[in-house]
Amino acid sequence: MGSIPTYSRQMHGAGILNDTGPFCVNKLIQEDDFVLKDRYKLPLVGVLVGVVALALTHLGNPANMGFCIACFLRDMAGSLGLHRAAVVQYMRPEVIGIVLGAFVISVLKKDFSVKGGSAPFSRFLLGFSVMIGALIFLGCPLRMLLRIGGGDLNAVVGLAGFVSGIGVGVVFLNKGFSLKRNYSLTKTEGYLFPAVNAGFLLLLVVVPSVLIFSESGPGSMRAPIWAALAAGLIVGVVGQRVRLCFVSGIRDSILFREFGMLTLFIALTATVAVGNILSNKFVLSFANQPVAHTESVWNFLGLFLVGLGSVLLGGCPYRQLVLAGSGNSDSAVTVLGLLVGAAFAHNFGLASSGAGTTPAGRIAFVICLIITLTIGLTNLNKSSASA
Amino acid sequence: MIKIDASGLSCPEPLMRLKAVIDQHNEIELALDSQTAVETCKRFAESKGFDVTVTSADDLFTLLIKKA
Repeated sequence: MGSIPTYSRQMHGAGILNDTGPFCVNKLIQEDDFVLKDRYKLPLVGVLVGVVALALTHLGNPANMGFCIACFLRDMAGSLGLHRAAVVQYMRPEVIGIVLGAFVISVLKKDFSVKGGSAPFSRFLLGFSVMIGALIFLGCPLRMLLRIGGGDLNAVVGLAGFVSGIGVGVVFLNKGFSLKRNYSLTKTEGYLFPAVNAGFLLLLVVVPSVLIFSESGPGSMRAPIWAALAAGLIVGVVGQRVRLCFVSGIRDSILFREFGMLTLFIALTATVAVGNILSNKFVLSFANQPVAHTESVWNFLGLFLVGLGSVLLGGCPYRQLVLAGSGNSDSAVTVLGLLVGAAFAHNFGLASSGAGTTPAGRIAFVICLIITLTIGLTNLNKSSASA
Repeated sequence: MIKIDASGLSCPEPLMRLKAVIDQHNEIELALDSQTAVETCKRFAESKGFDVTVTSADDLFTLLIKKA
């Protein structure tokens, strides 16, 4: 039997593997019941996401920031008054669209599954730490690709850190890292996160006066609300269906020799690069890149922390939004961790700026790395480690 | 036949548990509770030369993985 134990069902109801009773009828699943993750679909999705990101930048978003889950959650924290950095405050419709898009498509495709209870506070702290890493680099993994597509060589350094962090995360996985199982929860629990996002949209459209909006800086640069919402919906829907995750593509290529998602990343980056070249916005350099700094060590380390933390979480910040919209309560808690991390980053001067990192940010990085490593090391399970 | 319950586990743990045993067994019964895990585990098993039959009960899935 090897080192892998077999498991009897105790928490989800007994004997599901053999259930044939009237309330639990086994149904043969045809292959077509699932979305076929055809290899050719992934590059096309990469092109689509790249085009949407270019469009958002063209319509008013900051340069190389058609999407940035970290930056946008940071803006939303500011818009809600959770931090008072005047230049990064806006209720980003892109994030709301991603969540609502994932929600609608998961319900329509019967993929909406309400689960939670897998180490929620550990996930909150991992989300917090990932946000600190992202704001030291100045971008999430999606923005990293958009920055590379704009010619920003600092993001290439960040990519090296990101891959290294994922590599260390894979070591944890191979040593049996697990935050343990989640469990079925009531439908209400799953509906709450999309409902809160719908509420944010309502505030933005109907009573924007209750929110805070930047009058200068990145937070003031924004595509029109409905365009941004539509962009988010598109990326939320297609990302939910193809299981888009900027960590899993690299992680799974290391773990399982599964390279499909990498083709999406390459197509996305190439699309953005072509779009930037055609519009004369492509500048290959380290210096003078938009919303970026040139401290290579910290660009590397920031995304190292993002890669490591995201592997332990089971997905990147974008994927956490999609999962939270699809009923995953643990991911909703993770997003809260990201949001609070963003608030801390700007309340305590931890976030980098175009001028570089801050002393407080470097200290916060060390603390968050210790937190992440501690969670990793204390959740190793030898019995489930792969050979 | 070996039975593995990987329901409730975060990505990529279900696939790692399957990967750890697939070379030592001709028949595996794998319990999962997410479509994502079903897709990835099914694809992986088929790439290793196994036939996979998927059944569902409520929101739980069972993959019967047999050497082709």
